[in-house]
Amino acid sequence: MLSYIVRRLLWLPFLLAIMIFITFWLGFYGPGSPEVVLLGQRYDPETAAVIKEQWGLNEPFALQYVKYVRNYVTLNFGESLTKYQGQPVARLLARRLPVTMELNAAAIALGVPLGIILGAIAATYHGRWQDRSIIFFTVLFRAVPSLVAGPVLLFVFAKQLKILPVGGWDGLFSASAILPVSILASGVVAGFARQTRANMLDVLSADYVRTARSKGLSEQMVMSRHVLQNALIPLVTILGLVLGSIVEGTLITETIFGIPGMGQLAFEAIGARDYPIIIAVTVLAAFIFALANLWADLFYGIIDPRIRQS
Amino acid sequence: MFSRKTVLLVLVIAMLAVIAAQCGAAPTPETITVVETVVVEKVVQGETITVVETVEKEVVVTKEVEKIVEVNNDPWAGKVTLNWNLGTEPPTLDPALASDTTSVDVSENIFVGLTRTDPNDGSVLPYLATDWSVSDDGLEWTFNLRNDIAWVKYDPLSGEFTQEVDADGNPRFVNANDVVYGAKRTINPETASDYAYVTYIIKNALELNSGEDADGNPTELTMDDLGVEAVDDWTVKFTLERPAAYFPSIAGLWVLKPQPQWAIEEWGSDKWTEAGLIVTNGPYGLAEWIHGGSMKLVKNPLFIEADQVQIEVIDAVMITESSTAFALYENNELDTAGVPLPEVDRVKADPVLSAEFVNGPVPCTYYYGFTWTKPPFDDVRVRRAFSAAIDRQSLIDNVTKGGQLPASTFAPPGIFGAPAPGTLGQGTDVELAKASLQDFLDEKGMTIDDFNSTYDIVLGHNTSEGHARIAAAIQQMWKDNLGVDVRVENQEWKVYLKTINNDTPVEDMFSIYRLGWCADYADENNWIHEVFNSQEGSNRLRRNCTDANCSDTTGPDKFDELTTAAAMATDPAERIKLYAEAEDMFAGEMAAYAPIYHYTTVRVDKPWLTRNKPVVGGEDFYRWKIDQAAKDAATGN
Repeated sequence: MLSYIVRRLLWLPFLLAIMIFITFWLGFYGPGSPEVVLLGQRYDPETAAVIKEQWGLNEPFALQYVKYVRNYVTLNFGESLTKYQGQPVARLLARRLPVTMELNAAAIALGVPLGIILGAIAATYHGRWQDRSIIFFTVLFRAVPSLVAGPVLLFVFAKQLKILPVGGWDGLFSASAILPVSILASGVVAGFARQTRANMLDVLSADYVRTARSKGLSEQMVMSRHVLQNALIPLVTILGLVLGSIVEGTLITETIFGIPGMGQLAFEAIGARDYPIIIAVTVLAAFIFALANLWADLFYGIIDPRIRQS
Repeated sequence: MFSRKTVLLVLVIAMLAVIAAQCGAAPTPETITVVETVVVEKVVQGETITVVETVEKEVVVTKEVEKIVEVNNDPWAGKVTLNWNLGTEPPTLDPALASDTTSVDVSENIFVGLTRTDPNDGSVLPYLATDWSVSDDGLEWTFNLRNDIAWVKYDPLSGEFTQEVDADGNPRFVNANDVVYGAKRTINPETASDYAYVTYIIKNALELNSGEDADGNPTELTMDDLGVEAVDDWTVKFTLERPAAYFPSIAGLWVLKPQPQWAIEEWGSDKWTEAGLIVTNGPYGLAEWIHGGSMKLVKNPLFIEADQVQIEVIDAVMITESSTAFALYENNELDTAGVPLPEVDRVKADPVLSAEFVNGPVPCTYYYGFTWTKPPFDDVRVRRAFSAAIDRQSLIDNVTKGGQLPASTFAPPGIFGAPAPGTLGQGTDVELAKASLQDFLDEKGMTIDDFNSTYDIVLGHNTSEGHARIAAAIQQMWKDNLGVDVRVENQEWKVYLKTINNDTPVEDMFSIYRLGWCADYADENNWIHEVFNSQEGSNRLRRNCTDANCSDTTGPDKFDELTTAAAMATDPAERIKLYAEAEDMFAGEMAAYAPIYHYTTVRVDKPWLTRNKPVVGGEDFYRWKIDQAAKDAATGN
């Protein structure tokens, strides 16, 4: 088990280096570049060449890439090129990260239990109207991207009903957090409800459940001790995946609602072709994602003896 | 019994921000421990952080009283407040470093410049400088400063402004040395100011800022060689590279604003602009800056014109998404907002919103340039035909739809010296266009089909959906009005910029290229001269070239002489006249390029807000007014 963890952790730096490579490669060959953004209408090839030289952007791809990786090894995330010129990326991230973490933590804290409860209800009333309506809404939540859900909810709750603020950020425990947290949580709810329901239906048809029922255990006992517990195990793994989708959702949700988090920073940085910020955000997201996956794998082993033994 | 009360207390305190001191079982005095949770904001090294502190207090309770004291947690309540959207986190508040509109908007209101511009016509007004004079050779500009603008610092904890004092305890007023320090700091290459180039008219500024002399060798000059000096505490003198009558307009730009040397050196370039540290001298001070979230500016009561500054608090959010900002406006949470394009039709149809709708100028012009060394655009009749055949109003009504102003000359309204749009130059005139092209065809003995088979005319634009739609519409207008075939090509911006440079071989160059230009400072010199003078600047039109690839020019023509003379003339009326002549000649008689439209912003202003829209130099909140009673009535406060 320990060697498994060590092996996985050893892989992490390589994974991040690959992430840097892909992000960097896309930026290098994709349209737009920071010196063009910076110079705007004053662009002329000579000045652009001087700036590229200053920033080391005219060096060969491989060399620039190696420099990035080397800097990351020494935890030097560089400085913003265009958007927040000269400011250390680490400081920009440090300011924004807590907000994004709060937002995601709230979405998970709210979404996971709610999703499990709804999933359990759906499975319990399998095929009846409760099941159908829960499935309908979870499919809807899953299918509607935050890019659409955000403006729609804004329109209904902020503009028409005027019961929630339109945007801005007064902290997690304020009315301004309700809509963004709900949008992020809705995806989590949908994912967990569907998965819980599917798992429970699986387990319900398992032999040991039939045995438990035939032993004469009450339905409540069967459900809570045998069905739900077994059905919950696979959910741990999807938490990692869900985390990935909220990271993506954060980018859009934060931009729509004007929340000063990492997503908004990334959005601005992409517009300004501010590579150091884009790469730092991507790597950080990948790092969190990788850790979440590792955690899921480990936790899976801990709670399910069948996996630990094999 | 105790614990429940304590919990209740904490809840009441934490959630309602109310301090309550209370209770106990009636007559006998008893002591209870109250845990108070206090949320305080502290300034630690310039970062405002929120700390939750738990304080245990022994309280002796003798009788049951319920006393609720409102904590004044909103010191801004009841003040005349402007709710503003910055749109993004300002990258910097440092006047030396600001190069984007957000940063400039804030710095305009917290720092004074030597001069400022009239928001309506771009003319230069006194500010820190009471008056100025220029030497006979036009090179030395002497500014006399007022001596009563205080350097102040706002204390976020006490909510008060205090005047800065020097090492001897004397109050600091903005003086000539602050101006000199500011100019040198901006131009010093170590500061890395993106906008330093606008100061290059100052003697040695270009060489010092680039670090290279004219031959490309490392400069031997030091910052002391920069053409700026403090003659005495209240007089500053600039020496220029060449005469520039527009210099007072440049002198008022944020990059040349006085800067507080002591504060910058104490905290360093990246820290000194934080709330609690920043030293300012303008109508407002920085009260709060929650990075990425919001910013508050408060009126500086020590400012010279404090009695004229009506708005006391600028409460600014940083909402990037324009439709969200617009929704905030509709909810009365912003006093003014841009109208997102998809909303324009709804706003115009809405009885309330249409009354609040304003078409504000933006100092930018959209134009098509002709490549003069590429036939048939070496012939003025062809150029005139192509320019006059563009139905600008129809383009605006049907394609761009943003209420832009049809352009017939280059510089937009609000720039000093700019003619009123549509009065001079070349606007839409389809009959003239047809006649002009026919004249050309007749002389060459061509039919329109010969014309189309002889010339492969390519209109180039950088890749963008908007440019593509405009190009397609204009291509059709040329076809309909003139019968000419034009191909449209687009290139990615960086490639495009390289292509339209005048050292690109002429066969790779487009016949017609799209560009826009936006003001760096509010003077015609920045427009017709800097963009189009064939001897200075990029000369993308390839005018007066010795060969098709424009390896050299044959020298200035009458237009070039006009704009050069206008840059040197000291009498403002004379300059306006010269620029009018140059603008009229360039777009009209010479048909050198096709002006298309002046950009505008479509915005909405609440009826209780009276505002300006200066075209250059940032929003002037200190000149705006808010009818707070009307605002309160509408918002229900």
